[in-house]
Order: sequence, then structure tokens, then C-alpha cells
Amino acid sequence: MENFFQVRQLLNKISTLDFFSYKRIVLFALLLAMIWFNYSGMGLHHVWNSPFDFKGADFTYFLVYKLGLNRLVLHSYLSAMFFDVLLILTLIISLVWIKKRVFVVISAVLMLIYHILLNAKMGYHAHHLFGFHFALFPFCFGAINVLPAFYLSQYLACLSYFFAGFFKLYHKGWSVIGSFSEIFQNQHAAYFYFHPNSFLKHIGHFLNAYPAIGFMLYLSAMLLQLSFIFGFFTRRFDKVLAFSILGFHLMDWYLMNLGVFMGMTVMMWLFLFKPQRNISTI
Amino acid sequence: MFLQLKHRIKQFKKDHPFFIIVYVLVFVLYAGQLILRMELTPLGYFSLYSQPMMPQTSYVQNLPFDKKKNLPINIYHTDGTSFLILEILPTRYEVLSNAPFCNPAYEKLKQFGMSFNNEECQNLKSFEDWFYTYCKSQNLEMPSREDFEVRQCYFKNGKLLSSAPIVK
Repeated sequence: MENFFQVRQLLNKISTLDFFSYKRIVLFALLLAMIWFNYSGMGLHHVWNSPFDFKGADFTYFLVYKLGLNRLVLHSYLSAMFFDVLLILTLIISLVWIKKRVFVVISAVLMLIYHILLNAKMGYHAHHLFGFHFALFPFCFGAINVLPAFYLSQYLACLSYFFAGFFKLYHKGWSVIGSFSEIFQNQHAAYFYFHPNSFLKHIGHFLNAYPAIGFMLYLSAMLLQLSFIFGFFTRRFDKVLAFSILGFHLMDWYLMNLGVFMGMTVMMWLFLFKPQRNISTI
Repeated sequence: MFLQLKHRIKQFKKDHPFFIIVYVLVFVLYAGQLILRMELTPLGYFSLYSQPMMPQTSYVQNLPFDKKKNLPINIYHTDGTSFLILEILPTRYEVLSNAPFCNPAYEKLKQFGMSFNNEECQNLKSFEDWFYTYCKSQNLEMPSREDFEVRQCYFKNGKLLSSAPIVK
């Protein structure tokens, strides 16, 4: 019981942090994420000459290629490396001059270009960075527009998580008891081969034997995502939604080996910050 | 709850007339992406990839392969989370190679009157050479280029059942 109150006190403390403290936390998290991505072979300088130029059916990708941004940034190993360093530097500069909005705007634009070009050169429109854009968006606006920008980001986060759950519901994943167990085996097929004694392999065995447990996990993830519908109508459950984001991505990391999505937890700030209480600090 | 939302929208319209346009534009983009089932926004993305999985006889993963040892290369012995990219790249190589004009959205784009050329398919021919260099840059223990191939590997219960070159 005492622990519960301590956690509650901590949460209250977090929600009283001012706008710039949140800005510092978000920028620092993004900085760490970008350094981690570059360490993990996900910098543009790693993939600059990949044979993929995948645009899918999305006009943003066609626009970027039409404008020649790909040729500019991915002209050579050095230009791609320069871009990666520039993105990290702008994040550092934004952190140092925390009240200068222009640097955050530059970081946000560079982040978007990075996202599009990385996806095009990977041949896959991965969505592991959309949380970064949502988290950064409100910081790009001045005092007059920061509130609607903040709410827009919050709505987009709710929309994304809600629809992730909605499509699980719509495609009837819930009607196939063994679906999660199969998804799990499929996701880790090669990992199980290379790591026969790993923790994940044991979980795989367990889920194979008890697919209903996997089904419950799938269902809980779906319900967690569907609960984001409340974010459109009330701010009463914001803290719960913030920790749903954390819970969902921790589950994604430990069960699906998708630690790369942990960066998305920066969106928690959209549910922890109380604009009514802290608007004077902007 | 609905009243609160209605009140919020009214207040927004009054205080931020410009921002309401931004809201409408963003939501139109999202709705469009959702209806056309495209990948740019998370909504469009989830509408494409949330199907349940039926029981499989084996599980396929495209992996870098050592032909001499007749074994897949362990992509999990790399820095950070680069194994994810090493999983994605060969999978997408297969998907794109097998799509008309190397774009799985070809049919959709054709309806919008877009024309295609074979340039992207031509570029894909150099995939294995490039991927070999990429794997090396990620500190994977690699065989010689002659002994290297990207293969579809079939697994079941942590055992490699068989492997085959990617069919294009």
C-alpha cells in the first residue's frame, strides 16, 4: 500500500514538471535513440547506396524523390554521414538552447527526412519513428499555437494506438485462439534456431503448449490499444494511457524482440503533461 | 464525454482559427490513407498488417547464408538492434522482386495513371552484393562472396528444416 502511494506521489511530481522539463526529456530521449540507431546500422550512411528506392504508394516518398532530396542527402557515404551527424547535432543544440524554437523545428524536419529516406532505402515503410514526430510536434510552435499542437499530437497518438487495436479486432485475430502462438513462432523462427536455450525459446515452448495464454496476451494488447479511444473524450485516464504505452512497448520488446520501438515511449509526455496546470510555463 | 469534446472543438475554433485547418488537413490525410490502405500513416499501415496467423507447417525467414557450411549466418550476433534490419532487408528483397515493376502498390498506382519503368528492378539485381557488404559492416562473420547467398530458410521448433534460394 505504501509503495502504491509512493508511485502516486512520483506520478504527481512528474505531472507538475514544466513544459521545458518535458522538452528536455523528449529531446534527450530522441538524442539517445538516434545515437542507438546509428550504432545499430540504421543511420543513413549505412544504407545510402542500398539498391532499394521503395516509394510504395505514398506521395510523400514520390515528392521527396521528385525534389531530389534523396540525391542531395544520399549522394555519397560522406553526405549521408554528414546528414546523420547534423541530425544528432541539431538535437544537442536544441537541448542546449532549450528556449530557441527554431532548432527544434530544424530537428523535426531532419527527423522526417531521415524517416522517409531510411524507409525508402530499407525497402519497407517501417513505422517505428512516428512517435518521435508526434512527440516533437508541439515543441515546434510558439505560445499561441502550442496547445492545439499538443492536443493534435495527443489525438494522433490515440488514433494510432486505437486503430492498431481496432484492426486486430476487425481482422478477427481474436477469433483464432492459436494466432498469437503462431505469430510468436514465426517472429522468432530463426532466433530459436540460433539461441536454443534462450528465455524466448522457453516462452515459445510454453505458448505452444498453452496457446490460450498467448491468446490472453494478444487480447490484453488489443484491449490496451482499444482503450486509447478514451483519450478523445476525457483526460481522466491520461496517466493510465501513458503507462499503457509503456506497458505495450515493454511487452513488444520482451516478447517480440522489438526493442527498436521503445523510442515510441517518448509519447508518454503527451499524456503526463497537464497543459491547463502548466500552460503559464510555456 | 461527448459534450466535453464538443466544447473543446468550439473553444479551438474560437481561439485558433488557423489551427483548425491544420487539424482538418491532418485528419483528411489520415482518412485518405486509411481508405486507400497505404502505409504512410500508422492507420494505413495497421489496416494492412493485422491479420491473424493460422497454424503453419514451418516458418520461413530470409537470411544470409553460408553455402560452404550449408548454414544460415547468425544475424543476432551484431551491434545493437541491427538484426532487425538484417531481418527486414532480405524479406523486402523477396517481396519487391516478386512484385510487378518491383512495387507491391503497382495495381493501386496504375489506377491513378502512374507509369512505371524497370529501373528499380534493375537496381535490385545488385542486392546480394550490397547486402554482403552491409552484413560485413555490421561485424557479422561472413564467408567469401562466392559462398554467400540470401536464402529462404524453413524452421520448425528451433530446427532448420531446409533452405532454398529466393524465387524471383
